[in-house]
Amino acid sequence: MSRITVPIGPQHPLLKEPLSFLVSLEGEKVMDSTLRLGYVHRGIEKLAEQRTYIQNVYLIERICGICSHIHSTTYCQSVEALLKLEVPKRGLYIRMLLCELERIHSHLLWLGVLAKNIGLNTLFMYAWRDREIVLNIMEEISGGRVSHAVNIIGGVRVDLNDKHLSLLQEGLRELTIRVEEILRAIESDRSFRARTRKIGYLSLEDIKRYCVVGPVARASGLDIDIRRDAPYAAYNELSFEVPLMTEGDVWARSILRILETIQAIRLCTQIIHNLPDGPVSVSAPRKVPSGEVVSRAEAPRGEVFYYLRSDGSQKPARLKVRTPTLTTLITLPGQLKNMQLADVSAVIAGVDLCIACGDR
Amino acid sequence: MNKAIIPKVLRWARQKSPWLLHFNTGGCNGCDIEILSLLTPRYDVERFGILKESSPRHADILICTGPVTQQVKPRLQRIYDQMPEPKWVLAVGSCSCSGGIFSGAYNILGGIDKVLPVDMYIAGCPCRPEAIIDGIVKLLGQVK
Amino acid sequence: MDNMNLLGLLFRIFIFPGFFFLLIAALFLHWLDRKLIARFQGRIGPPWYQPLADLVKLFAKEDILPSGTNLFFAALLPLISFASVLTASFYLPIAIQSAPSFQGDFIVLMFLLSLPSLMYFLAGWVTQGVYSVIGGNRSLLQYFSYEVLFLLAMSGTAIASGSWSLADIRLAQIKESPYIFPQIVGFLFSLAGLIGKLKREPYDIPKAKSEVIAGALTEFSGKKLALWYLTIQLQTVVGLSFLIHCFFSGFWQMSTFSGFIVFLLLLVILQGMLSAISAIYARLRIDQLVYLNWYIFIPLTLLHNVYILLK
Ligand code: SF4
Repeated sequence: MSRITVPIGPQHPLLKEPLSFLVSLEGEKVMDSTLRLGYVHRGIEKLAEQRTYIQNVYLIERICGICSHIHSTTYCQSVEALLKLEVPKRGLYIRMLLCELERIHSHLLWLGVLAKNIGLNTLFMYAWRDREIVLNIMEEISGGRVSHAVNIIGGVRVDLNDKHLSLLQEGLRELTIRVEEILRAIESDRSFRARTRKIGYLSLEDIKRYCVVGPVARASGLDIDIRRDAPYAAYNELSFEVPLMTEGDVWARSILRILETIQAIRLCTQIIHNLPDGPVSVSAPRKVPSGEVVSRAEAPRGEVFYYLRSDGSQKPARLKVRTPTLTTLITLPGQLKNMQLADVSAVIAGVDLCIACGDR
Repeated sequence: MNKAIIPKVLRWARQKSPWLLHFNTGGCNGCDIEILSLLTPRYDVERFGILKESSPRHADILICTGPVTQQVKPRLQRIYDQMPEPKWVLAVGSCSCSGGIFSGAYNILGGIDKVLPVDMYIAGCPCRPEAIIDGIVKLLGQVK
Repeated sequence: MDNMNLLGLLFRIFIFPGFFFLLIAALFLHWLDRKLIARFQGRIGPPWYQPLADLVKLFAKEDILPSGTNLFFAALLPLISFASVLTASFYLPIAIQSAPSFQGDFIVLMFLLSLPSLMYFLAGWVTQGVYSVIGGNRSLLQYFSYEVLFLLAMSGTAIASGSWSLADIRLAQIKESPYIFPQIVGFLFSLAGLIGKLKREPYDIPKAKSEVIAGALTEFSGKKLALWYLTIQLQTVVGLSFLIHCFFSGFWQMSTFSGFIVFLLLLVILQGMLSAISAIYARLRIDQLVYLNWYIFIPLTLLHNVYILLK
């Protein structure tokens, strides 16, 4: 049988970001695939060296629009570590609150994209409709729907007032109902199951070999979560579970992400109940003493890792960002092998790529 | 009489059925997810006849986000060439208007207008969906 | 042929139940479809003139094709499929008008309705894009499973009436009862076959957006694309009318106004069913679809037909 090569991307309805796959097919079966990256490479790491620490907070947010807050959180953490700043408790709590809200928004967004890719437009619409609740809350708190610019070095820029809290309580209650409904629907829907079960399988060995992190790793049974294993901000003061599945296919990833969403809602509720009083930020000097530091955080897609070196001036000497997408990307050719062309979309959506994070 | 009516009908049809083609030219995703939100229940642009198409040959409006990286440039040009006339280009987001926050980076050209003729600029980082709808409506208002 | 007859013929071809009526019905059903799906998804949906605006706009757009395409065939294929659907509509007694009926027009109609899918496959080859070729191939793969299903399920009515003529099928229904009651299974399977013909979800494998962009139509633009879309919209009307004729037409007597109203109502209800199915199900994979059709639907239909024969 003759092979044909199908280019997927850079402009393809399956991807909202440019990424290029060359899939060679035999009939409908994928024999091989090659990956081409770099369409979104803007040179942010280099750009960061030309800007001051404070300007960089806003640049770093633009690494990725979906998980903008977690990037700026990790960056601010690393600068604060170099400055030996003690961020006030209330500031940390508000940071965590936005992190968790962002996780909810990112997971619902992802669910919608997966649903769209397997032809289930209705679920896409529902997931994105429910996501608007979170966006509303975030807009009310920070003024931005997608990028929040809430973090500053030394704390956060905004404080929560009573109106925010009541809005949060109401929104979270509504979200719990909606997300549980979605979970029920997904678990019982036959056509969703038919399109996601046994697709894109990754074994625990593969996960370890490729150093995969985040929900993809947890869906294959690897129990890692930076929030619990190496708590940052004030996660050690909160109680939450890390859901774990062992099936390792797209279906498990879907269920796992929804379970995580439910956990994130629980975390948000805890945060607003235990919110400490006091200031939200401390002032930070412009110059950062020389030294180097590593900072980690759990983004919706897994662990993000920042390395920052300072030479004592107002600008960083080196900023290195490692995002979870990089590790999941290299597993894709293996996952796609011997799949049907129709499953390519489900697999690619299933690992939740964020090319803008990966390319920077 | 024929002469007067046909352009009017065409103008009406073009205004009522703009089909979008979305292409990320190196942006951060922020604007892209706002464009996708346009389709969803809260904004539902299908009530204006706006559809998001996936083949360049079917589209009327090319809607770009991002500062145009070096690698994406030939592809952007090609997609534009594949679109049939009449066609328009919409630059969504500050970084696709001028390079925005990324200006000065070594790998970007700085704005869609370095490559294609842009018909409408929509500022904002990220743009609000309302702003994007407003941009499309204003663009269609100029259609002849 | 005298003048009156000629005028009547022209009226039948162009106005009712000919081209004009079909066009209106097609546009209306298309709008209804989009509106219903939007409502199911919690959206508002397009205004009523949307399909018309889309078509007019497409007709006025530049018509480009990739270099290396055989222009003659690229123009011919949409025309053939459009013509075949139109021709089909003349054999079919749409609404109350009685069409010229002869033994075997049932089969002719089947053939005419299946032509567009073949043309769709060829369109993929003519335009040569990768996605077009895959889309075309997929439509051919799918073709055999749903065409057989559609033919078998529909022929239940022919078996029951003992004739391959549409007029007889109707007469038999008027004499006994509409076939929808005894043959509800056949009706449901015919609906499934029709969904496959129209390439709607969950049978929309050949034009799955996230996999092959727009299938065989990826490289078409302007007039030709408009013609393809129009063909599919007309096919919806003709296909649904075919179903209505074979399963429901016992509900009204020849040429009554109320019959026409019932016909329109049924058209709307069936379209509503199609839309609901689209909104609920995810797209199947090609192997799942073939399995479902060949191992479940078709054997069941065969059993059903045997049962009708024995009765
Ligand atoms: S304008 Fe801002 S939010 Fe939009 S893509 Fe560019 S950097 Fe991202």
